[in-house]
Amino acid sequence: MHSHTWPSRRGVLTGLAATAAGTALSACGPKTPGGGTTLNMWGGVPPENGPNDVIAAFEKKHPKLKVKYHRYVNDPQGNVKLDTALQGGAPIDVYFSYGLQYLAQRVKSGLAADLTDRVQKDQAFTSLADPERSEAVWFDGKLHSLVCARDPHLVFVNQDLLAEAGVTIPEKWTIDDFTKAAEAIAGKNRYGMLFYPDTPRITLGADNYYARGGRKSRFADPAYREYGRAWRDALDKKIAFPYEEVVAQKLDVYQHTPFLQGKVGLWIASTFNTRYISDTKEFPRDFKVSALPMPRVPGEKYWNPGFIGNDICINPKTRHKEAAWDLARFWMIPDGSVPMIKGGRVPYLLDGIDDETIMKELLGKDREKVYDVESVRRVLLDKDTRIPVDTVATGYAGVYKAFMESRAKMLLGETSVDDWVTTLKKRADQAIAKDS
Amino acid sequence: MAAAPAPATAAARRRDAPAPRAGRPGRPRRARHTDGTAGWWFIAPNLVGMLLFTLIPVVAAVLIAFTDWDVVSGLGGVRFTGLANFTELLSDDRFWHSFKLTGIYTGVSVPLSVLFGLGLAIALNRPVPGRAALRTIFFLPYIVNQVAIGMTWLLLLNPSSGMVNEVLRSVGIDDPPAWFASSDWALPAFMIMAVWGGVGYAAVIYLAALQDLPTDLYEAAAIDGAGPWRRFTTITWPALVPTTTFVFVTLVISVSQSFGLVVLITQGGPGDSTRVLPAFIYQSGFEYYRFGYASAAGLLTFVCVLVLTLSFWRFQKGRALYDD
Repeated sequence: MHSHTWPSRRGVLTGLAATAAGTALSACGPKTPGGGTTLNMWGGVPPENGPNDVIAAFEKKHPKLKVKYHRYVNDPQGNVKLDTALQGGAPIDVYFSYGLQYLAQRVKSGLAADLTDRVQKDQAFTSLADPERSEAVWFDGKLHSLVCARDPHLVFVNQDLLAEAGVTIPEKWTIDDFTKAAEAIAGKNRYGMLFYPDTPRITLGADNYYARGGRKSRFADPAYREYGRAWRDALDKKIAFPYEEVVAQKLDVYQHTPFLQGKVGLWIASTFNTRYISDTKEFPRDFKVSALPMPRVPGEKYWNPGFIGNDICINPKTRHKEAAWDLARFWMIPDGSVPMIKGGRVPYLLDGIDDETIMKELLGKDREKVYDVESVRRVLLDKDTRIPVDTVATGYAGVYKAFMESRAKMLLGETSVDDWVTTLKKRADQAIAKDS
Repeated sequence: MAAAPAPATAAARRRDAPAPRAGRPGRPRRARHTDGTAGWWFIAPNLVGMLLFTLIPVVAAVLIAFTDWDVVSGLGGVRFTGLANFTELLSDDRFWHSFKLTGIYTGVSVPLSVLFGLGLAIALNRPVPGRAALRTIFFLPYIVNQVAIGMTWLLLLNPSSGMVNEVLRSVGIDDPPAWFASSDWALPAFMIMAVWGGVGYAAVIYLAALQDLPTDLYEAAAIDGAGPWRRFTTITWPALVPTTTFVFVTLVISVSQSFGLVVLITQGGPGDSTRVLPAFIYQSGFEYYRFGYASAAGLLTFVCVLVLTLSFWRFQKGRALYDD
């Protein structure tokens, strides 16, 4: 009876099309209500761990610019989400890439703007601009990102356990000193080390998975066999934390619990773990934490097995190239990089930031109670620390997977060290060949 | 009897339709159209949703299976490769390893779930006190959040402090399994979880079917001297064949697609000991950026499940006792 109130079928289709078009167009509207510009930024760090503060400082300095921060989880799904958004033309102006594999893919696919000219003309970036000196990754003589964090690895020490064991550690300690200290600390329900030091990366440095410029894997190098043997030995002697527990508690990803519970004396970890150590409410304890440099392998080269990364990229499709550059640049200079320290990100460019500020931001207000601050300062800000910069990522996902999967089996005692190395080399070579 | 018979055909219905209102020529034709439009409006949200989130992705997945595509390079990077992904899959040891694991995982956990589910349903198909509550309790695992299930089992099966190993140690097993931390025991641990989740589901379906069975057949069989086992094999089981097929098929589909718990608990490890097909597909796509290869593996998995399902339906034909 009231059928005349319904629109025609054509009307329905037109309406749906209009709604879809409206939705699509609304996503492209980066204008803020006050007439300024809104920049969209994607990053993996939770906004409360620094990005919110950086953005607030940026917006204060650039009142006509607003920044909308979208957090993506830095896992395979999160990265595919970012890639599809970039490819699909989603309004992303600036984004972070974590790891060479993802950065290289994005550069190869034209998803990261060439920043070479801008970097070379900018006085703040003189150390980045020279390919010979720079620790950023260059692609065919071009720079497509601003590397903004350094993440050296440290050995965190439970001072009470070390004192109880009565061990004195020399300033430049070796891998043998490390093992001896761990052995002295180990006891009933207590372990000397969580993980064994990554000696292949310490001695081989950058691209330690690759040989011949990325055409083959490097797992035939004796450094891997020795690493496997030493860790397996430490597990058998109950010096190292049981690997069954590492797997069961998923400590490959979040490693801090056994150390903060006082079950482990020596913990090799990234700098960002200070955010867990500083959290005495969540992890109450009595002992103080000091830091030691990574142990050396006598007669071999000495690298810190950490990473330099957190690359800021600019989407080449951005309609706000200047504003996007302003934001990326701001993240690198002290106004933008200092607020990120409290989340465990030590700035790549340290010019204009004094040591005290880094210690204060990184270790928190209770630092004197929680840490031997001087030891952390000494290790973390050591000017001689050399962090390798990888340049090869051929079949990296497959190579890394092969390494992790086969290593787990070896450390669980399901395969011998020799079989591990043989299997690993074969699988890694296959992954490289597939991607070559 | 006195009511007028309904028009038998569409033409007759049109003839019997009320006359158009005076002053609105041509409305009946319009009215028929608009009635149809109203229907379109009602189903439009569902239709759009299905088109966007089911039909298009399914068609796209099938098409992508015949390409080499890494997503990052955009649509311009799509390269048609014909059957290359499928031929590579058939010679890929990793794929066959995952295929075997999925077969073992499904082949053990589904029959056990069905068997225990049937037993439980028969036990509950009597005047047991608190039957409704028990039914709910047994069905709960099927509807509880997967993350909660995963975390609970991780704690229960922790090698050193888990409750299961504590019990095993207390009965004299000094070296109990390391469960998720062992390549040999991780898959059996997932099977235990699958059976735990599947039993309640199977039991509830069986219980509904059991309560529908005609009691007169049992009474007649009892009069003829048939014992409980004979009554089960000649009446209950044949009557439950369609239900069994349904439970089997739905559990096979659900178990063979287990993904969330594997990713949450082991990510396919230790080593590759729990990398079942869904995890293989995920790794190929999301970790190796080989979306064509992943789609091809997905398509092969779909074909296998389809063949299995059709086999079940064919198998049940002629074996069921239908109550006509």
